[in-house]
Amino acid sequence: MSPIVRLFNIVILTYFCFINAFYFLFMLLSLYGHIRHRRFSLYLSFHDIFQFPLIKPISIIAPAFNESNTIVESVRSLLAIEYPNFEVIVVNDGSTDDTLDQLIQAFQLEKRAWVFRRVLPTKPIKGIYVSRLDPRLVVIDKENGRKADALNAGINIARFPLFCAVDSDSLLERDALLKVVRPFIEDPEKTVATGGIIQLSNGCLVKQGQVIKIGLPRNWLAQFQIIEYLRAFLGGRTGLSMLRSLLIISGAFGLFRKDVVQATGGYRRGTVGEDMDLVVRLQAHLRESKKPYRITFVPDPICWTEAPETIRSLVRQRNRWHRGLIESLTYSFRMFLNPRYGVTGLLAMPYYTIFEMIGPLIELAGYAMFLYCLFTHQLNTSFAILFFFLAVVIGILISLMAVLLEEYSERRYPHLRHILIIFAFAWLENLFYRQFMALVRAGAFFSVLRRKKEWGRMERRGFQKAG
Amino acid sequence: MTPFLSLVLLSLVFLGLLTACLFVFIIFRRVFWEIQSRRFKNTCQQIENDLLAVISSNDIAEAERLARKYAAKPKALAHVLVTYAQKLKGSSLNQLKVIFQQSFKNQVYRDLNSVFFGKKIRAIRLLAYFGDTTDIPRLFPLLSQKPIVRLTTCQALTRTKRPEAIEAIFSAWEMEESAHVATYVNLLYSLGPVIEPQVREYLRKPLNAAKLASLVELVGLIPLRSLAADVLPLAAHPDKEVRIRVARALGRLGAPESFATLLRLLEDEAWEVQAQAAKSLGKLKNLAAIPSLSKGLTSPFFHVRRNAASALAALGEEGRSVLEAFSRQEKDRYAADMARMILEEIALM
Repeated sequence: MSPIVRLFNIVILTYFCFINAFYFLFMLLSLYGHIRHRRFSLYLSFHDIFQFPLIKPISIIAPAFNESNTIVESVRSLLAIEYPNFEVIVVNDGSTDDTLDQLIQAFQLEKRAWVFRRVLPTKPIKGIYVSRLDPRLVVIDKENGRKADALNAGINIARFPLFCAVDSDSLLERDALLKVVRPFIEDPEKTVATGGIIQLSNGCLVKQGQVIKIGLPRNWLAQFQIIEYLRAFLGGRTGLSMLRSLLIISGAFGLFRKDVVQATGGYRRGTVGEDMDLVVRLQAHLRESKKPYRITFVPDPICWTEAPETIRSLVRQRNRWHRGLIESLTYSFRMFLNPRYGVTGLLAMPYYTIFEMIGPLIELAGYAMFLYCLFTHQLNTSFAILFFFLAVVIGILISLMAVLLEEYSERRYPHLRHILIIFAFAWLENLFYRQFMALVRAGAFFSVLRRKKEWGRMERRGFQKAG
Repeated sequence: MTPFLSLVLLSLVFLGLLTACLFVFIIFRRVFWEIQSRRFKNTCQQIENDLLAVISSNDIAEAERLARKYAAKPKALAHVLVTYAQKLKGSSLNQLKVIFQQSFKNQVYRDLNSVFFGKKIRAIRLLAYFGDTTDIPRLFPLLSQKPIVRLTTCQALTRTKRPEAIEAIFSAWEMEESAHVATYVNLLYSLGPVIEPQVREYLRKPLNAAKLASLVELVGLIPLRSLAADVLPLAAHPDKEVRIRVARALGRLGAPESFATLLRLLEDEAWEVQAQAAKSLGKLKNLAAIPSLSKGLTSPFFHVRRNAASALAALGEEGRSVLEAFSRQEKDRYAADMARMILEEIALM
């Protein structure tokens, strides 16, 4: 074996050792977080939260672009949420389909003269509508400016001190806001943002905007994504939140303090990963201003979203997510290993940069090297064994741990058949899907180099309705 | 077979076995929980049936018998007692108290010192519902423990509404770091007007701005109208947050004597105070505020303009005619737009 190949092998193995160590750390922290959360839930019932006089009202902002298949169902789900005082702001971001017409018809919208403060710059607003059926529903019709621009327009119109950014194609559980607002009640001075868990609605039965029967999707791509989501949300996010260095709150469901987001400049327009970009900039802004703050992940409020079921949609989505990650991390690169930003700068930023951003390239290089050594008869047995062990065996082990965490925390999947299928996909994911995803994510680097700014359209099937 | 392949196979076999074990573990865990919860439900159902008979008989001896019968099942008994305590009022609670005293009072005393949060919190709740006056001091030492225990204890103490409990909550609140101040306000709010003497006393104490602001907020929320005179001097407080709360509380109290102070606050250096004062002036329904609110409608600050316009709308016909005049003028486009929006809002209401 040539010295270069040997050195390369060491780099690859070290990478896998570290990434697995991080995953184990997050899993352990996550388990502790779940136990603690359960203990605290004993104390505070949601019935009590409803009675609290100081509970802050919330503006739910849902940007929509060509969502005519799901928009009415989603808005109904948002209006049915249990929370003492909230408004729903749907931002029609220049849809080319009949999204706005559907809303106008379903909710009897009326155009209104609306005066608002343009704190964050956005594309021109064509009209603001209020529902005659439910005055809590406000619809903004604006020129297309992408998701970040639409969210900024929603923030400008929002009347309440907290805003909840949701995807208009997602469904929130009825008590999701009551659960996600808890850190704002426990520590109102410090808490600036909280996020909840996203789960996949594929295969679930939906009635009146609520998931009434949980099931597994028939589509194998969506089943792989279930494992991914469990690992990311139950493991990664809870773990990072425990370390007080959460760098991402999903754009599908996140609650923020409006004044702090406005002070940070709102969502950065032109980014494709606006959710992560905002949280990274919030971390930087709050650290720089030396204000005590909390950005927390709450492990039980659930938001249901539809996962892509075709390879094409999935590739587009993951390419966009990875481009977003690259954009956010490079934009705030000053935080990287900078002690001024505390644990976020010293741990979360290096983790995301090395393992999440560059990771797919290293992983791919590892697989390529493995194949190269195999075909050129340079395969060192100990390297091969270690590589297989670190890249596949530990990967499966971590996925199994994520399923166990799910079983411990919420036990959402009622049938043992579901668990068996999830276990099977936890295996298969590490044998095929993970390598494919590494390839897709590595491809995002080329998209960045080609200055690709496309959002990447996703075909929606709509929710599977009951009755 | 090469060592590589054999190790790969071995590790896959190991993983396969591990997966099978985990699956079996999940099955056992689910079966165990299912049996446990079914048993718990059945026991609760039995206790509930017996309890209903005891409550309808109104016989203390029956209550004592029930306590003895289920003394070995404290978890289920506690669950049923707490559920019923939330629903029942007056003398019906006496039967529950007897059961509590006879069955696990001593256990609850021990659980107050438990290292397990669940047990401790359950004990605190039980004591708050069924304990007598002599039990209250047992809760006080818990006020110096971890924040979650402190808050639970305070919440339990709010149920008693006894003067010594209220004093203890206020003392805990005074010692509390600012992070939990707002949560305490929620608890104190649930006590209602009985806290008036303590609020009056603490308003005169040298508190930090966060605590003073939350106390003023409380005056407006409950509302404690007799404390309006104590709140008025705080309108000159150097901290902006306190002045904002003063402006809000005065509006909620609706005390006519606060009119002049609110007019002064409408001229405050902080726009947040001005906006709050404008809103509160609308609530006082004093037509003498129209000139000041008209001035507020031309403020460079959006929220001041909006609240001033809403306040004018709340003043009735006179205020609305001012808004109509503003909506027709072209000198101040922002004021005209705001007046139009509020007029449209009230027309649709």
